[in-house]
Amino acid sequence: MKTRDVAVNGLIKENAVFRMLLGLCSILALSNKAINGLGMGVAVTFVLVCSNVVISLLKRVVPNKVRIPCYVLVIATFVTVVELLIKYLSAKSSAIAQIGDAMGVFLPLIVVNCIILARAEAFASKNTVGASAIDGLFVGMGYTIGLTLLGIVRELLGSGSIFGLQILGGFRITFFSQPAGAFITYGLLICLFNITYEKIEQNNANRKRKASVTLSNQVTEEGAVNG
Amino acid sequence: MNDKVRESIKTICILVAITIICVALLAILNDVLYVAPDMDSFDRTAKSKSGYTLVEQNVKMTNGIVKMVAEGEMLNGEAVVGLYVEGKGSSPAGSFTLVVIIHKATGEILGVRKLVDGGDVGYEYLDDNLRSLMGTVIDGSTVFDSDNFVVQAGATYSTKACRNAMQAVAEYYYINYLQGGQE
Repeated sequence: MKTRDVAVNGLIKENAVFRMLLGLCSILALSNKAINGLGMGVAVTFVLVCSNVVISLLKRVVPNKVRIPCYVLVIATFVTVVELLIKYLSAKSSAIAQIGDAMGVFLPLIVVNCIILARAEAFASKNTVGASAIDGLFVGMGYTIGLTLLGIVRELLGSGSIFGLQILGGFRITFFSQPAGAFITYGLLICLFNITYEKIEQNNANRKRKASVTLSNQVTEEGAVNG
Repeated sequence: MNDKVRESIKTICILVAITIICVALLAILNDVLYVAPDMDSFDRTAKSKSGYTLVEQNVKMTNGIVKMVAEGEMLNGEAVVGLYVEGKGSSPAGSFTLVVIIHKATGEILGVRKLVDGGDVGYEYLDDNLRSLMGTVIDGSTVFDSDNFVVQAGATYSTKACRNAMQAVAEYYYINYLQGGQE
């Protein structure tokens, strides 16, 4: 698989937030602020890259029957590393402490996040270390972008700010900061993402069809000239 | 030994090996990234526990006033004492207010945080200097009665006020917990 294909898959075609709809709990709970979404995204990306690399390294060693417990063990180790890092950095920066507090129980729950286990099983256990690392990075980036985008929209509408900076003055619709607002905003963004994706796919298909028609016409003309 | 048993033993060995590697990695990182329990941890636990009790208020000690005393538990369940203390100050620096968390059984200082600096000299106090007090075990009422601690280089009077607050902490803990007041 080419690096470009892996990247496009992770970011767009198999985007965890808008296409695969994986890890909905944390997506809905942590998207009330853009910074929380970004923090969670970075944590998940770190775990994804590290666990993908280790699982890819272990793919020949781990017996098939116990592969899932092994994957969970590896993922849990990296989630604990993230927890330790956040605790360590929280003592140095109050901003990180706030993000860590906001993540709360969703941080240890990364262990059972479908995205990570799905990439381990579907990709890392079948591909090389390099490809698995790139896959982890781009799937994580897709998740981070999706979660941050949702956070930006919800924070803007719900609190009138983006990343804590007041933009809309006193304007706010608190509904968007609440769970129901999360579902509606998420639904609308999925709709928008998929419409855009389908259009791009259609344009690409049309372009390819035109190119193949032009090519076949050229071949026919050349054949006629030679004949 | 048949193939099935050999396969099972191999599987168990691999699982154990992976577990040992993971545990070793975490043990190393736990040491490298260890952060002593601080006020946030105490505050969070104290707020979530109904057993969080205010014991006394405004107890005058030799070097300051213990304004508030709270007992609670750390996340691991160990009992701690939280003191809100104002250390005596003198011009140009005013009094110095700290929150200090002490391990109830051992007397070890688990956390120190500056709340109010009564002076107006505009020093930016370094957290590291206050953190250096953490780990000290209160085994007597004069444990902080020395000139070793500075809250910030050059801040002589604030240092004195801060040291007064810590001495008040030590005295309170010594009287009430070490001498059997509440233990």
